[in-house]
Amino acid sequence: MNNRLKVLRAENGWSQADLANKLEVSRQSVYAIETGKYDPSLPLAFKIAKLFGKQIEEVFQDEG
Amino acid sequence: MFCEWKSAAAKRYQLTVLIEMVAYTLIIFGVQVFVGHHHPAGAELYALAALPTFPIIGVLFAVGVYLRDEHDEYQRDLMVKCVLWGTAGILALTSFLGFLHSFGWTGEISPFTEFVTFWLLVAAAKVFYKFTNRVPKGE
Repeated sequence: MNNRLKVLRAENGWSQADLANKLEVSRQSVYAIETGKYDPSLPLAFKIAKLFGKQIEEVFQDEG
Repeated sequence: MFCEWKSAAAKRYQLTVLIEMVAYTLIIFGVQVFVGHHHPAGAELYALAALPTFPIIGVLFAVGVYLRDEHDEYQRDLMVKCVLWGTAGILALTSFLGFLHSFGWTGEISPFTEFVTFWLLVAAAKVFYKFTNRVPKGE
């Protein structure tokens, strides 16, 4: 699954630590999601999308 | 557990594991000294042999509590992977030693080492994942 997390984070001027704090997860988690090493669950994906004020499909896209 | 970030669940888990491991060591030591001096038999011996299993169950219960309480799903995922590596490693090792015994090997390995080996394997897996998923500084 591809995602625009890094771009959206940069647009908001947030560091990985900022985003991690807002999501109440570790920075390691944010990094793993950004780099595609870990695909978040649906609840976390919705939480991320809501945080950026986006629809979930605007943040996460199917690779196919 | 990993890196500098630790959730409340991770801190509770680490403290519980530390207490259980100290209890395990003390119980093992105490049981061995008691059995060496008093040579119990029957039900008393069974009860003494069962005593060290309680901290083992306690530690695995702590893992379960951590997995229930940890809000960070990525950290939960890592914990499950690490425990699976530990389980796979210790099962392979004990099976290997069991087969060696069935083939006539008479060597002896203390039962104390099995649980310690399990956690060493879990720790090795944690180090591996920490290294392969290390976060660059300054982003």
